[in-house]
Amino acid sequence: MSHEDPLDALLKAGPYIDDAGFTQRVMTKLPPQRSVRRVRRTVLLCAGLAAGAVFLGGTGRGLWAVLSSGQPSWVTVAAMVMVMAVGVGTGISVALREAEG
Amino acid sequence: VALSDADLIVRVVADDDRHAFAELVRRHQSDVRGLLRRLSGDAATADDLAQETFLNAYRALPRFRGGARFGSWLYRIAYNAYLAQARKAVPAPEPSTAVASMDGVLQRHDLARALAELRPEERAALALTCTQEVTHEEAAEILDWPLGTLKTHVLRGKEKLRARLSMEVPS
Repeated sequence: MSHEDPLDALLKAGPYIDDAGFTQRVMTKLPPQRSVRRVRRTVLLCAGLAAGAVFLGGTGRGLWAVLSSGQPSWVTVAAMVMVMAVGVGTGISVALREAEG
Repeated sequence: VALSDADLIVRVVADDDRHAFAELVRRHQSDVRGLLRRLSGDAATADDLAQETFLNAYRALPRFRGGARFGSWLYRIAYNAYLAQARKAVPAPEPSTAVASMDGVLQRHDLARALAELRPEERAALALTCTQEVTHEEAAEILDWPLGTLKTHVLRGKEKLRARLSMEVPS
């Protein structure tokens, strides 16, 4: 007849731990569902592109005005091109990052 | 008919089925929280780590290969969460001899306290092999140790617990 080691008996898993809302707490911490994320990503991407287009239009018109004035300052042109690039890039990357989150 | 863990996992991965994931959490929460309570010695810390475990599991579920039991896979994530937390935590002061002798009678019967005094490796080895009914091979895989190392920690942990709980070695 074999006797169980008293230490093993003592170490055996304790009583079942009641859920007591644990599962619910985990579920509320999960990221949004994939379908919700897809919609949010599309909306944010469109918003980012629209903002980029508006920004590009405004700065682009200013750039065209400088160029058509006949004596464009290259410093001004370079600064405006840089502003356009940074603005559009930032708008799109922020939109994408938000949508991924 | 209750769906198996594997069926639930397929539903979560394919359709992001939240009901299926909730069922997986409900099924395994007691074991994961129990393991983390043994490891951390504190119910509140264990529950925070268990929550982190299930969130990490949700993110990693598409990479679950199904070669191991889902429970063992969860234990591994839980153990990693515990290790990360233990590295950040300020080490608890060692119990002094004076306190131990004053509290001697209580301490002999206090398994949780005796477990807390073991080295983390011994505690992890015992928590998995004795309390969670995981085989030595599975436990070695979960802890990423060679089998011999695991067995050594189990043996040493048990010796220390017997000494602390004043238990005799079974013949």
